[in-house]
Amino acid sequence: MPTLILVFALAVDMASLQMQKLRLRYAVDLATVTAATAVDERYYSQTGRLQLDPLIATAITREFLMRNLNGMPGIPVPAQIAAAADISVVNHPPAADPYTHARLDRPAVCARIRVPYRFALLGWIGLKVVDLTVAADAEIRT
Amino acid sequence: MKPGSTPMKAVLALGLSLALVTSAATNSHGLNGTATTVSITAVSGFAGHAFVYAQVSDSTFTYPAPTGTGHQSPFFSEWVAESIASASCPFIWAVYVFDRATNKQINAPTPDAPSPNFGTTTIRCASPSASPVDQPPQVDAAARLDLDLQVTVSPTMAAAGSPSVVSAVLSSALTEDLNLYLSMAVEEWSVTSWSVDFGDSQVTTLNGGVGTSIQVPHVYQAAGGYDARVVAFISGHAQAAVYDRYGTVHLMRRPFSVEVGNHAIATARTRPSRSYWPPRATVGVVPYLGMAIGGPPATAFRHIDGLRGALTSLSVELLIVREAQLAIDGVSQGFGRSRLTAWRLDGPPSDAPAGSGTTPGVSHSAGDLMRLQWNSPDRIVGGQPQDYLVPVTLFVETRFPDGHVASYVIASSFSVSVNFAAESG
Repeated sequence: MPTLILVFALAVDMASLQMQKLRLRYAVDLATVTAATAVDERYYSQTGRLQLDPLIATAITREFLMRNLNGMPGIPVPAQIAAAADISVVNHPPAADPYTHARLDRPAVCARIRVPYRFALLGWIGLKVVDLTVAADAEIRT
Repeated sequence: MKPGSTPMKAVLALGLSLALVTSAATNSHGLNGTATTVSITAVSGFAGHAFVYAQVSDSTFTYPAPTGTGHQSPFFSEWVAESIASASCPFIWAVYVFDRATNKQINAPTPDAPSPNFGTTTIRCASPSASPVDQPPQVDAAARLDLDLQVTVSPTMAAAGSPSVVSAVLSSALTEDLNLYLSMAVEEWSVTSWSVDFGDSQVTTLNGGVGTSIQVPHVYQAAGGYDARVVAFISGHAQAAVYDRYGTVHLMRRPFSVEVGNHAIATARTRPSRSYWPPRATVGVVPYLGMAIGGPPATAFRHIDGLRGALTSLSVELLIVREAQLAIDGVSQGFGRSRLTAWRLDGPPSDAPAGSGTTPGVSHSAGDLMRLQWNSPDRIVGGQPQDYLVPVTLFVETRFPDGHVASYVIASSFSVSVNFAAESG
């Protein structure tokens, strides 16, 4: 019986973990996609080439991270996570995403967050909290 | 045909020929029993020289003071030989002239006349050559007027279409016989008109008060050698003075006309070929995603990135690859200055929303912005992205160093890379 309960708790917590990870992935992904519209217009007029405005893109990423994390279950302080997020703007492709090492062919904004995840049932056996690391990048777009 | 008409015609022909051979005017006049002949020969020439020869002949000349008592002149003279201490003139004739009516001397010297004073103003060294008494009478007196005409064309070699000047200068030399018995003079001659044949079928005539030199501007329109001919038409009078036995002069005035011509070679070389080489230029664009920022930037681009789905404003600029050139006879004489006056978007319309994009086929002024949008990324052909090619027609105006302004229409294009949409990793 205890074994059965343990297996049940593992299944529930792992499913919740995967769901949380998916939510976080969406949050980071959409934040970078939104920030990928921050084109450096002056640079574009001066060179004819597209690249991102690093300051604006970084600010947009943090803002939309915070918005996307706000209200998400298990995220008590979204602003803190957004403020602690790693954000990089890559303007000289080809290059690799510094967090996922994915190949970037165009200017892109890359972000990574670390969010603690607290297990609900596995805590009974001492496994209480794990850190979830989620990264995403988005190339320049409108 | 009437009998005897042939001899009549022959006589007429002979008379006409004689009249033509000599242009002289020959006249005979009786002057108190003397036979005087005045002849004028005016020889026209068209190689730069002409002359007028006038001659008076009096075969029955008489001395001014005839002997005998049949005729008495109003004056009489007494000749007195005076010895003077001179090696060249040992003695002189002192001539005392009196009025026969009053018996008073008419050539008395003034009281303050310098010495030696012989009581007369008429003294003459008694030598055979200087004494009028001993001077042999002359039966002929002549005058000759030589006319020389010099014609030049300046510059000698000019470009066809550029101005030249045909100049003519008439010079003259006059010799006359003026003596006691007969005199012949040429006077009051002048150029009545000039005729200038430029040699290219154009002729100019200058009439009245034109002097003895002319300068006529002319433009030879075609290359080649031209024989410019100038003729001066001259008229005047020759006047003979014949003295009768009483010393009375009789003037005989005869008109004459003569033509003197000359020519000069003018060469008009081929008009220099003036070539206007068009500029080599392409279109360049400066992209803007929002409103245009500030003034025109320094650099325009032939290739730009396009942001997919974004309405992009493009400032159309003229990129000069090689500026227009002015060449004369194939040698460059300087560069022109080209500027864009208008442009036209060719090709298909872009993906811009209706009413917001630039319509192809419509000309726009140089300062107008081109508005384009690309909603699809580059096509992939052979595994490689194929950039958009935007054809543009440029309307260029070029001002050359000589002030010539030319307009050119230049077909050009620029390319746009539109990449795929954003990807999330």
